[in-house]
Parts: sequence; structure tokens; C-alpha cells
Amino acid sequence: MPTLLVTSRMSPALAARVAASVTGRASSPRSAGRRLVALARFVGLGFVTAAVLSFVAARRRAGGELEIARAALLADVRAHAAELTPEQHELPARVAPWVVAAAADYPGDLVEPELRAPGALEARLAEPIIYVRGAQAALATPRGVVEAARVSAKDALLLCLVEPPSAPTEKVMLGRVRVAYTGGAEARTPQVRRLADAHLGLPFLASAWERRVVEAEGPRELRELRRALEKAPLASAKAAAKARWLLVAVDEAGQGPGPTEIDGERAHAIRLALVEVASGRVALRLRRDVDPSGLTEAARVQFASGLDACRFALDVLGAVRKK
Amino acid sequence: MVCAAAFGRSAPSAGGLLTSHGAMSEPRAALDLLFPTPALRIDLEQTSLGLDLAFAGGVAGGLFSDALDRAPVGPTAWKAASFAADLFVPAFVASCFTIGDGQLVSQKHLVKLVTSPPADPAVVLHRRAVVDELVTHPSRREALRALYTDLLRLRSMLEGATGAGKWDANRRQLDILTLVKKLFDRLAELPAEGASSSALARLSDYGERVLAGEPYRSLADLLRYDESMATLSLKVGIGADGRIRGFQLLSVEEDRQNPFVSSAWRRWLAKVELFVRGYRFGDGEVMARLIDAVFDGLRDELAPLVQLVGDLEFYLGALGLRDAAAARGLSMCLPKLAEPGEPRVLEGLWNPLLLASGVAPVPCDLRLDRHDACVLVTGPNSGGKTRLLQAVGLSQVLAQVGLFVPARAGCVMLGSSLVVSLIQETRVDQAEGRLGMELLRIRELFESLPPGAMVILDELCSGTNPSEGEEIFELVIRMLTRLRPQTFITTHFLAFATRLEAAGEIDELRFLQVELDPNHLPTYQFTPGVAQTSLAGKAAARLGVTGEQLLALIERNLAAAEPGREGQGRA
Repeated sequence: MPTLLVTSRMSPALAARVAASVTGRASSPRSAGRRLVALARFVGLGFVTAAVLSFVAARRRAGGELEIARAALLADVRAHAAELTPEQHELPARVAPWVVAAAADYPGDLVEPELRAPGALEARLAEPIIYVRGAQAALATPRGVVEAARVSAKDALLLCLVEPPSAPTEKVMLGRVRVAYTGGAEARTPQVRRLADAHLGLPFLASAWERRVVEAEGPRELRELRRALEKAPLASAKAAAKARWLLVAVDEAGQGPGPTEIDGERAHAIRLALVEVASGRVALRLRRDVDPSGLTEAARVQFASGLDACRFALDVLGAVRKK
Repeated sequence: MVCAAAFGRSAPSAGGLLTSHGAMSEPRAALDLLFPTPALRIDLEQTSLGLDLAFAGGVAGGLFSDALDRAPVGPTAWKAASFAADLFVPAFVASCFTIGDGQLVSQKHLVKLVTSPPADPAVVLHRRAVVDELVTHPSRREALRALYTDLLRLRSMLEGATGAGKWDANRRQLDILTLVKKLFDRLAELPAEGASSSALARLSDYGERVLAGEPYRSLADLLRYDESMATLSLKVGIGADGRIRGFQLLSVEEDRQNPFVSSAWRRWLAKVELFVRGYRFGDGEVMARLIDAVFDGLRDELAPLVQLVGDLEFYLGALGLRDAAAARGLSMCLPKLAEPGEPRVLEGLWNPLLLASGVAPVPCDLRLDRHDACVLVTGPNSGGKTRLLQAVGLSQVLAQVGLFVPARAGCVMLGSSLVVSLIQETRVDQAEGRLGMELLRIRELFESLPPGAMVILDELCSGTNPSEGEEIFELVIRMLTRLRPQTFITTHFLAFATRLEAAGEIDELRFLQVELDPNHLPTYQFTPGVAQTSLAGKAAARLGVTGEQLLALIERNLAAAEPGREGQGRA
């Protein structure tokens, strides 16, 4: 029986003796005992080999399943991402400087002539818009823009601008304000997306996140990525990315030592800017003061901020319509 | 012709031996220094099995001595029982056949050799040629001595492996194989045929044959593999403080020509293979299998080395006796082998038993005009008669086995047998009295004595009254002469001996007497004639057995038994 101890350089006689030394003499009791040990080891080795092969097969099967899951996740991500143009993917980065500029030194009011046409502003506000409102100090930097966008909601200013109250009276405006305060602005302004929607959802469609999927090492990590993608506000993010206009509202700091309302409202100036996303062109820029002191006691306690915002929206609409 | 078959072994007549494989193995038998036709006398099968066991685990204590003890020593007509005990041959061999300070591996084997003179005179001549060459060429004797020393080391390593479990078994076996290689190298270096005039050339032939064989080459390859499977070249970095800071491996060279060298992955797979086959997993197990394979090829070449140990002890022991004698100013020689009718001469004959017991022997000259004489030796007690008979007997024995005799020069005829009766001990179970036992010995002597044998008798018929003893004595002498033996007999029947000398009726009778100096003290020399007195009185006086000395002893004993007696006497 050949053995690995024999080399090609050995003489035939030596090779035969080496082989005999390995196989042993058939009749010796020691050799018989060794054969039993060999049999036991052979069986043991068979078990070990089978176990290793099973393990390897299981690993390969698991690896195959992992790749399938990875491919499915990547396909989903890429399908979502394919709905956007590269410019749309970069919307947050593109609009951040415009928001900062709106909060910077105020260059004066600006109304595009087209907007002054009857129904022009309303038509513009019916197009896809992303909206953000924040304090002037917060919007001074791109990082501040992200933070402000996170807490910026569809408020009374937006609602009154898109769906103006019929009269600038406190009672009429209060109706819109209540709607806004109870979350009703979302349903009435479906064409408007919050800038925060883009901040929250677009990173899931970026190449960095796709790389995380590619580099995920195990099914557990891949499952977590899948869960994160499913929870991400992709629909609103894609809608935000497709916006044609950026609507920025900037609350300047309060003016003078006057009293502050319970909801934090006090007399201050609000700026509003409408910027075309495709070009960065400013179509509307207006600045108006608001002062809650003129409100009734009952409304001021609870709705000072909302009423001021709604009044500001009416002022903007009025300023645009005035020739 | 001496052949293996003649030794009672199942061997072919050519002197070779049938191996267990059924193949003729003539060359192995060539490692025989004792017989003209080489024979493997040890039991090959038993010895090979013993070597296997000894090599595997050192569990064959007594392998060498057992093999030699059991080995036959060739056909002989002599019966050791007839002379060995009376000549103290075992004691003689034990004390005189010395090789350095060590003990003989098999004293029994050597005693058997010495007490079994070969029946074929050619064997005697064969051995004398070896002895002569060793004396003539001291360097060859030294080479044999070195060979013997290495054989003893091999025996020690094979048999004395008690506690071997405490160290690496592979290392022990590799050490044994290293020594085996050295032994074969030594054999090959001995003088070859042409340079050597005796059987010593067989050693060289054997060595060269082994060196030319595959098993030896495999042995050399394995030892080289063990010594230098690979060579690493290292660069050693030394720090400012003189300490070694690191090693850099420059190159690795493997002895790719060596058949035992294989690649690292193959060595690893070999270990796996052995593990699956039931061995341990490790480099040691791989080496063990290779050692096994190499030893397996050499096993049949090793068994004859065991026999060689016995042969070397025969020659080196005899040379050791010669050296010891020379150190005491005594000579030994290879005597001339005489034909019947030639004179017997032993000049400067001395008794080796005296040398062994630390007594300085006094050499004497023994000259007789014929070998088949019946020599009557007379002289005083303690005059050296019995010592002379011992010396003559041992000389005959040594000459018969082809060795030196304890004499400066000599001419000795080979005898067909030897009967010696020097000791007259009383045994518990003896059926007869002293005379009866003596007569029984005489009867036994005539029952088996062949013509031309040597007979040595001390104080024949001294166990009965002289007149009747002399009658038996004369009868024995007259009957012995019919077989023409070489006879030496001592007697204190001085008047009887004188009468025989004067009568001159028996041609073969010769008479020797102990020589005395002017003070009547023995000179331990022997001259022709019959002694006039046994000087028993002098011996008695020397040993304190005179009337006065005995009376003094009696007085002392009486005084000791009766404490008051001495005081009363004084008063």
C-alpha cells in the first residue's frame, strides 16, 4: 500500500521496507491493535469531515441567502434612488446656502412682476414646495439650517399663505390657526414638503448608504439596514427632493424690551423668501413686522404666535397684490 | 572440513546459511574468525528476534551472552568433563583471558571453546594464523580491540536500556544506528585479503560488502537526514549592550538529494496518514517508521556481529593473557606442532593458574625424547609436581585450540583426547571409599580412552597400602602403553618407581624428579631420575607437625581447659 513516507528518490528495497514499516506485519497482535485504532480514527475523521463539510455547506447556504437579501435591498434602494435626478439627490446641500442667505442681512423687499398678476402667487404656491421656518440666529449656518428644519412644521403662516382666510380679522384668522395647531395643515397643503423630510429620507438613497449595504457582513446587519430603510420617510423625501420652490420664513429677534406672550411670541419681524430650486432665483422677498399686542386677551394667551404668522401671511399676500 | 551442518545446524554445507527469506546468505557467514570454512554458529532466528526486541525497547537483556552461550563451538573428540574441572579451566579462563578491565560477554562460550579443541588440525592452524598475524601486526590487534570496544558499546546500548522511557526512543535508536555504521566502517577499514594472511581479511570483506549494499546507504542517508535535513543561514543582530536582539533568516537549504527529505506539506500529510493508520501524530512517529525501515534492512547484517564478539574474546583474551605474562617476565609461544615420535619440549614452562592467583610461577624446562612416553614424576611434597601436571595439561589444551602455551618455546603433539585426575575430593554421595573411587576412575579411563590421548594422573593408587597399590599401579602403566598415550603420573611410591627404572622393562617409561638445592629445598625444576625421598619430615616441620610442635599445642589446649593448672605447676 503506498505511503507518503516513501519518496521518489528511495530505492525500491528501501521503499518497500518503509511501506512495510507503516503497514506493519499482518500477524502481530500490536498491528491488529493498531488497525482497531486506525479504524476508530478513520470513523472519527469521517465524522469530523462530515461535520466540517456540513458546516461549510451551511455557511455557503447562509452566504447565498445573505447575498440574495443584499441584492434585494440594493435593488430597492436603487429603485427609489432612480426616481430622482442627481440634482434632486443633492437638494439639501443646494438649498442650505439660500436659506442662510435669507437669514442674513436683509437686502430689501423683492416681488417678481409675474407674481403680481392676479392668481399668480396662488398658482406658484400650488406647485411643489419645500418649506422651512426658523429663527434668524438658527438659520445663520448650514448646520443650523438642519437643526431648524428638524423642528420646523407646517404652521399657520404656511396654511394662511396657501389658503388665506377670508378676512384679516382675529376671529376669521383664528379658524386657520386652530386648523394649523391641530395638525390640519398637512392635509390642506399636500404640495408642500418640509425641508426636514429631505434631510431624513434622502441619506437612505445616497451612495454612502448603498455602500453600507454592500459592505454588510452578516444577515443581522443586513436585516437592520432593511428595517431602517423601511422606516425611512422615503416618499416624502422624494417629494421634497422634487420641489420646484423653496419657501423660507425667518423670524428675526424680538424688538425692544416689550412683553413676551406665553407661547413665546413677541413683537418682531418676519421675512419670507420664495426661491426657485432649479436656478436659485429669488422670486419673492418680503419683510414685515408682527406684534401680538393688538390681539384680544383670550386669543393672545393661546394663539399669539399663530395669529401673528397668519397676519404676516395676509400681509405678504397683500403686498404682492398691491401694485 | 568444518561446516555449519557439522555443527548440528540446518545450514548448507558451503558454510553459508539459509535465511528466513529462503535465500542463501553466504557473505554473512564470512564473519567467522574461528574456522577455515566460515559458519554462522549462533542461532540466527533467535538472535535476530532478540535484536529486534532490543532495538525496539531494550528488553533483551543477555541477548549477546545468551546467543554465545548457546552457540556450538565445532566438532571435538575431547570431553570437557574429563579434564576441565581438574585443570580449573573455568577459573583459568575467568582470571586469565582478560580484555582490559571489562568482563567477558560470555565466559561460558569461551570456556566451551577452550575445552573443545577442534577435531580438524586445519582449524588449529587457521587460528594460529590469526594469532600470529595479531602478534606480528600490533596495529591490527589495536583495530580489533577498538572494534570489540564498539561492539561492547552496541551491546550496552541494545541491552542496557532500562529506564529508556525517560528519554527519546528515536534518539536512542539513532544513536544505536550511528554506532552500527561506525562498526561497519571499522570492519571495512581492516586489512583486506592480500594485506592480511589470515581470516582477519574476512572482516574487511564483510565490511566492504555491507558498505556496498543498499541497507548501508539507506543507513547513511538516514543519519545524514537526522543530522542536517536542512541548513539555515541566520544573521544575528547584537544590541549595544551585547545582547542578541534578533535573527534574520538569510536562506534555507534542504538536502534534496537525500531520499528521506520531502517537502514540508508532504511531511505534514505523512503525519496525518500515520495518525489515520493508528500511530501517534507527530514528527517523531514519522522518524520512528523510517528508523524501523532502515533497521529492518540491516537486521540480518547485525546478527553475525554477535558471533564476532565471541570470536574476538577468544583471540583478544588470549593476547591479554600473553600481555599479563609478559608483564611478569614470563613468555608464551605458539608451539611447534610435532609429529608422533618427535621429542616433547616445553622450555620455560610455567603454570598460568599460579599467575592468576598472584604467585610468581617459576618456569621450568621439560624435555622428553618422545611424546608417547609414560612419565613418572617423583619428588618431595610441595615440590611442584602437581603444578607441573597442571601446566602440562593447560599447555596441551591451549595448543590444541590454537592459542599460546605458557612456555618460552615448545614442541607439542596434538592429542586425540585428554584425561586428567588431579583432585581427589570426597563427595557426600560417593558409593565407594577412596580406593574404590580411584579404581572407578581408572575403569572409566580405559572405557573411553582413544589411542594417542594425553593422560595426567596425580598420585595414582595412593589410597591403599603401598604393596597392593603398586601392583595396580604397574598394571595401569602396562595397559596404558598399549594405547600409546602421552602420560604424566606423579607418585610417592619411590621404591616402586626406582624398581621400574632399574628394571627397564617398559620402553615408554620415563622418570622425572623434583630438583633439590643443597639445603634440600625444591627448586621447582625437574631432572631425569627418581627421587630418593619425599622429604615428608621437612614438609611436616614446615607445616608445624613435628612431635615438639604438636606437644606444645596439646599443652596449650590443656591449660585453656584447666585455668588453675598452670599456676599450680609454678607453685
